[in-house]
Amino acid sequence: MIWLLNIALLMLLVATAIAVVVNKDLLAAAITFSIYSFIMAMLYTQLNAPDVGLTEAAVGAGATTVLFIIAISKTSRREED
Amino acid sequence: MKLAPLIVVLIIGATLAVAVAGMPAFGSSDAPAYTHVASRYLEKGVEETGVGNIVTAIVVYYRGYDTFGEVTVIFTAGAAVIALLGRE
Amino acid sequence: MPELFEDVIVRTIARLMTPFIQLFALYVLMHGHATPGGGFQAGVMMAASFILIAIALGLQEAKDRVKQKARLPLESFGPLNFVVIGIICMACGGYYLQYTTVPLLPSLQAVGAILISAVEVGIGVTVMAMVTTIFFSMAGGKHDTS
Repeated sequence: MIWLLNIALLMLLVATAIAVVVNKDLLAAAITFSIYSFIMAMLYTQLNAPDVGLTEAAVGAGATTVLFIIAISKTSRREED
Repeated sequence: MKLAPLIVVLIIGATLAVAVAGMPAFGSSDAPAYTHVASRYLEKGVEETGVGNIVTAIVVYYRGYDTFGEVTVIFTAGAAVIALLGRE
Repeated sequence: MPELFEDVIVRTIARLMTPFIQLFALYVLMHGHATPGGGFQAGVMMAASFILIAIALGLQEAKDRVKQKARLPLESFGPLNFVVIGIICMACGGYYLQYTTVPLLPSLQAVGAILISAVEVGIGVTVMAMVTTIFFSMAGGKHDTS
């Protein structure tokens, strides 16, 4: 039954990836990107790579999101075309 | 004007989807990644390096030079940020 | 950084969680030879605990916990440690970074485990200091244009 979890995680991964690209609100995009990193960490753990999952959870969901949010707070929040 | 990028992306995606079908199955022991040095590392890793975690053994012992480069990359990135933005 | 987030629940939980995050980071660092983890993961986790303090309790509180004077030598400790251990291995007759040639203990495997742990500690210290410094530099507000 683990394939059901895998398929659900992969569909969520595609959904969050599209949401990151489409969203015009950069703060929301940064937070969605941290959700993407978390799902990716779960998938790495599911693929028996706990080292990579730990790195992805710490770096992707933790450090880069904070750096993105600092960069947004120093520039503008909305994307301009 | 937005149609041309979409067509390019669809063509690339279809090519990648076809290429995925030619890859070895998940966890297959005949995959090219497992046929060269991986089995030797798994068999002799503990007695050669002394650490039980084979990932750490490969990252720090067998591929120690790459890890040294990685640490240098982090050091250089921090130095570049300090040079651009200044210390707090 | 924006103004301080004045919420008693967030501040208390951040203050309570920080030692446990740091303890887990030290566990990941020192057990990197037996369980998943290692220098990079532990360093980023340790830096994340300081980032949590900076977000919840204010930037000044985090700067007081990791002082710049203490971070300065730690930033370059990792590469230096790596190079010194590699050259010690060469001096003992092996190749660069061939840890098991160092005649520290009679058991070669124990020597390998000790030196690999030493290298991991250096990596973790450098990553912690560098990620914290990058965060402080970016959040410092010296170049704030808004």
